[in-house]
Amino acid sequence: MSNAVTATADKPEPNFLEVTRGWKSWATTLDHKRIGIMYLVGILTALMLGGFFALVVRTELFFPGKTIVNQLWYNRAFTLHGAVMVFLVIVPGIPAALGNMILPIQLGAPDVAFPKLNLASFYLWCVGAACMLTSIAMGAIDTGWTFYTPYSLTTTAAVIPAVLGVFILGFSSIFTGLNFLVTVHKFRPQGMGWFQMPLNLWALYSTAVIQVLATPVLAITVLLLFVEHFMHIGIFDPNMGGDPVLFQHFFWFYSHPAVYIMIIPAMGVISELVSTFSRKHIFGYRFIAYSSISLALLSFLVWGHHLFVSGQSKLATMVFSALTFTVAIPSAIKVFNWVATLYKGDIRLETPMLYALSFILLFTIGGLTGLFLGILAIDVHLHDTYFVVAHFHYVMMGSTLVAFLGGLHYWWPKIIGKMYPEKLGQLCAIGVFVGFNLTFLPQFVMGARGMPRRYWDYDPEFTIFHQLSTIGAYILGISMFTQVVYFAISAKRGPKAPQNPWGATTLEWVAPTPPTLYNFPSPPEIPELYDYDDLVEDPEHGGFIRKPSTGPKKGGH
Amino acid sequence: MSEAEHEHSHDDDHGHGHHGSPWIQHHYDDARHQFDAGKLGIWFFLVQEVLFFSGLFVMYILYRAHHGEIYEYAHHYLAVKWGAINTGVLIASSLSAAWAVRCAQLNQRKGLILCIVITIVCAFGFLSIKYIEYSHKFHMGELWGKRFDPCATPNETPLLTKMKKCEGHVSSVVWDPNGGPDAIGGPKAGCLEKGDYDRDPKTPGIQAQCTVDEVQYADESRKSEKGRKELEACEMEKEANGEAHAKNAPCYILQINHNVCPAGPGAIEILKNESEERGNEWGVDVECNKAPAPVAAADPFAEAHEPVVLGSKLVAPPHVVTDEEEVEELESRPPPPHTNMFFSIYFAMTGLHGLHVLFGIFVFVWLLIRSIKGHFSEDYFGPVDYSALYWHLVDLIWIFLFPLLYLIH
Amino acid sequence: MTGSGSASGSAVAPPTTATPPAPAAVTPGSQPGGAAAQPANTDTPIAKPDWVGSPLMCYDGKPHKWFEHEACKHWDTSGTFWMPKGANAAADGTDVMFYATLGLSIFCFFGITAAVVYFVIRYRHRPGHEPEPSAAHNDTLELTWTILPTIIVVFLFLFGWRDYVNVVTPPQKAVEINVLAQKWNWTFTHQNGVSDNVLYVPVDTPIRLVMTSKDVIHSFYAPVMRTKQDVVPKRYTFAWFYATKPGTYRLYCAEYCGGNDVPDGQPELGTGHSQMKTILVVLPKGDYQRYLNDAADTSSMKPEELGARLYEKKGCIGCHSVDGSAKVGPTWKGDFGQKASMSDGSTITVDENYIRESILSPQAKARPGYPPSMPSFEGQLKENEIQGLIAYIKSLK
Repeated sequence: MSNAVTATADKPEPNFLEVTRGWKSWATTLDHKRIGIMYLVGILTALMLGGFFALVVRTELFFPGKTIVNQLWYNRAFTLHGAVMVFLVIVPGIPAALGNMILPIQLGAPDVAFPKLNLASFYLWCVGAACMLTSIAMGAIDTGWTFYTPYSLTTTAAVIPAVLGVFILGFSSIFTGLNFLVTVHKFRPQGMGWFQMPLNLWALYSTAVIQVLATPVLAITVLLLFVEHFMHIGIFDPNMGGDPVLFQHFFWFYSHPAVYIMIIPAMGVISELVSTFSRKHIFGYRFIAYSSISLALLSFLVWGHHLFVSGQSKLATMVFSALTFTVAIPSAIKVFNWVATLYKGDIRLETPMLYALSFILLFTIGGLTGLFLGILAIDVHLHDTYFVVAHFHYVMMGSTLVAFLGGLHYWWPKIIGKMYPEKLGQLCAIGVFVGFNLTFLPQFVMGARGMPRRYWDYDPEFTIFHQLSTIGAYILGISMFTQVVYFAISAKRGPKAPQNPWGATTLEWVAPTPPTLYNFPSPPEIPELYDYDDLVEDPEHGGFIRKPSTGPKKGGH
Repeated sequence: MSEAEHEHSHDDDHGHGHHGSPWIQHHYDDARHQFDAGKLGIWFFLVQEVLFFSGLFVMYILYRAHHGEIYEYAHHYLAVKWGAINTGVLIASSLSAAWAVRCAQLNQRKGLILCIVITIVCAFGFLSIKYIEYSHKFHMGELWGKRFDPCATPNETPLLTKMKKCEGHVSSVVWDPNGGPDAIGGPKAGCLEKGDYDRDPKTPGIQAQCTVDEVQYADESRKSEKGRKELEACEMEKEANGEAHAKNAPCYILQINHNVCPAGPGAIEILKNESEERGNEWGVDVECNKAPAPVAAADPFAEAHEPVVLGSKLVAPPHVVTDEEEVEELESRPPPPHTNMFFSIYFAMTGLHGLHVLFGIFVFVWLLIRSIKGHFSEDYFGPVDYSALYWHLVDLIWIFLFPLLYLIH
Repeated sequence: MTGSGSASGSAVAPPTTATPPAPAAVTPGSQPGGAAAQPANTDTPIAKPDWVGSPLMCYDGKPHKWFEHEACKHWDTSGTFWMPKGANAAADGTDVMFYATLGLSIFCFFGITAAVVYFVIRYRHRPGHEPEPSAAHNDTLELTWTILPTIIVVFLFLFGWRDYVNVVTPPQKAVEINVLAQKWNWTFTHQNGVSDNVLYVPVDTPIRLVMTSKDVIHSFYAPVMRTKQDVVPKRYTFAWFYATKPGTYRLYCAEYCGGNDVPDGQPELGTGHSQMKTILVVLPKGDYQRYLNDAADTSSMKPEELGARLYEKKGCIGCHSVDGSAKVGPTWKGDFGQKASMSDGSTITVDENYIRESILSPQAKARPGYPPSMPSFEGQLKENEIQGLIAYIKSLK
């Protein structure tokens, strides 16, 4: 047990999992860790649902023409895959699940600023998810997750609950972001200035800024769509004088920043992992911190690159293209800094690190292929082809989901107090990497050759690429599913986790494992960030322990 | 911070002469910490609200930029008087909300309750006035998008229906780029010699340059269930007013656009052929020898020039503008195309604002209950402060909406 | 003028626009269809040499009429491993940029990968290995890798912008073709009024497309032309290209536009976004003129010929077969004269009047088992055209 705990109490306080029992204590809990765990369960369930739809799509595409489902259900499957993955999994994935578990502890705070609001966000997520399921039960939507008008105005009533679901999920996201912003502002302990915050907090903070500033625009957009279906107000309906392309502007004003809601926290997680498992101070802390913030701000200025071929003016196209390229710079900085962190380190290839290294490579591919799409002339050719599909999967899945899995493996022992099977974890991490690349690399080639996206049927010349892609998708699916299973088993029967299994320096590793109800039995000392010199392996309990001789500076809020 | 220390810090608060409100949550250091966090939170929330509304404002700006004429035309049909009264009501309520915060800070419980009650009453007043405005618009058919139907009450004519009774329907007629037979996406044979097609997106463009297209345009709208109903309603109304010469006459004027498609023998020929193919349903009796009209308005519903009367079934009186009063003149004008979008925007913006007022009422009722129970004190008045901030924002949004919708010129 | 997939055409005279020849940073790729990569200076389509120079000669070796394109759907899929053959003089810059960016990307990716792999092997954790001290930041280094990417992306932007302007700005004098997109077919109307659902264009001529949609947003996408433009209802959008190589190419809808409901018991049927593709035929100039003349001349046609043509042009082919196979609607083969039972239980002989009624008001008497998805063609067909269709159905015994 930590010296902090032993210093104040003879008998350790019960941890947050044991302090109360019964489903009611979970359903009404205000504890951020429990809310985070509930999010995690929900998100993993949604992940499997979205993965199922992905496999339906990929299986259907194994042969040209009909393989298993007809066109209508294919359209529904890819729509549901997109909607579930984006709105239910990836957007809330790292901020709401991992962020909720970790952010207050990393800050040394007892909880988030507004615990009731936090619980409300979670229930909003549930209601939003229920709306999505209602939509599926009503026959499912086939609009694509982007709900482009006027097509989405012509389809069945199943659009109504789906759109309502997105609206509600939007507010869930807004409230989480708001909560994190206030928590970071008001709960930083003395001794932790802005530049003593772990990079994960910088990333979550930047994410929260986008959540609060961009999501309302999505909310008003889908609200108008919702009203359109009920009352035919015609704002987006060309038959009534409305402007369908305005919908695209509104939609991408949110949905492009939403990409950064997904990727910035992933970058935060990776910054922690790369530093911890290299046992090196993160290289260029300030550059990484600033690049998070600049990404968050730039993300608001680039939505127009989704409309390069929608008929917007050439001037707007030029401006958006130029702004789009600015995003490449902070992204590049981060990649270089992570690679530089590895230099002269002591690299341990445990599961989270395998994910982190996967992330660096996959994100590099995702970023570089983004250059093709930012270059106007090439985008005209590649827009709405498989190239785009592959590109955003490299960013959303290859980067964000991989970082989510890395972070989950990393913090799982802290939150649950149990270890997962390491060897199996490494195997799955490699499976994810291989399966992912096999799925999406061929899609770049298909796209450049002119295979449009969202096609149920395709020309025979693309068959081999589609088949490779489908095989990859199954490898990916199996690797993901295995992880869900072993996490479930680990929660029940995993070996007890040491307090600091990875030798990390941030505050959560000072807290007991699992943490107590208010995280720290006594005000924690703020350790020197990313300074691994004092942490030595603990042969007794496994994991790492701080050398007793050192005297970190005194903290507390 | 440990459990014990938290308890201790509360004791400290007592020691320092605070009232030690029981509403300080456990994870905050003290009342100040909680208040500050809440204040920051509500500010972020308000930023979020502003962005929520910003979508609608952007929409407003875009339509104003592209279709300024519909604002010019339609804003006259908003009740400036009621809007102004509502502005006053909201400002009064904002004042009382601000006063409520002061009362809470000074521990004036009665004053607090009174201020909250005044705020709630004003909010109800606002909604009542909004109800009056809305119900009038429902009555007159000045509604959003598809529901925009100035023919709903034909005999009460102060509004859009005075002169051109049903032309408002132009907005809901389905746009058909085919234009009809053989014209899929392309020009008519009879118009080819003209060569240069008008591709201004504001006008119906290619397919509207030929008279024949306009005939079909009428025909198209009659094909749809809704179009038919609308036309029937029109005709009944016409009959009532003694204007209709026959049943099933389309309820609008067909025009030959002289500028784009010269009304020479060629065009007439097409018309006649077309008419014959339709079993002379249209009874074309073309008088296309009139002088070309000065303005090229390809929109069949525009009022730019005199229509060519196509036989006895298609009669509608050409409008002669006289030197009457300005308002009279306005009312005699047909609504410009897409006037319905003004009302869509009006209802979207004021409707969403109204929902915020409604939500505000719930919040203030909650505050009222808590203040009656005596929860608020100089130590703990955060909820009053936050709610008042929210209320000011709702007020502020109205302050923007009122001139933008009611007072534009 | 060179496309980059395979270099300049020999049969085709170079266009007059001045565009620098593509530097052909090209790796000749293989065709998944099995055909070998083409030698550098031929633009002939793969597989059938006798097809050369006669894009309307189908693989069965027989010459076909303009409107019998269904038999000619042999798209030219030649190109490199990465991109289909380029056939648009205005878009040569696109290919250059693509391969340049590809080279840059591969360089960066392998550079980063090499660094990661090297560090992981060199500094892997092993007994006795300790992290060595090194700087936690190095402003010079970090500024370098901030400024260097900035310079690169500025150039990428500028070149991309320049080429984009070429791709989207048509010259003053261009042949204009009107395009109407609707679920799920295209209609191309030429200047003499001929309309068709296959896009025939002359080679070496700037073509400007004036596009609109009847229902939802579609997107015009011709991969060989490297051009794409959304087609939006109630407004016009424009695309243009300057075709350099005669041939038959793919033409897609790239903006998702849904799919229809399917008939009961026949789930494999149905049309939608993925069937909204057609072909783009680039013809020698003389052939294009002949096409226009032939297609405009219907007076000399026999009624069933006219009907056969309308069967394709008006999109009947989408739902009705003429060989007895099942589609969304009833087959026309042997339909005339048979007794058919209706949804309301009555039985009707398929005769001239029934066919006429079914064309003009399809739902008046519908047959069971088919979705009520047929639109009315009232006002879209002339009397002689209806007669032609009836004659065509009669002829399908």
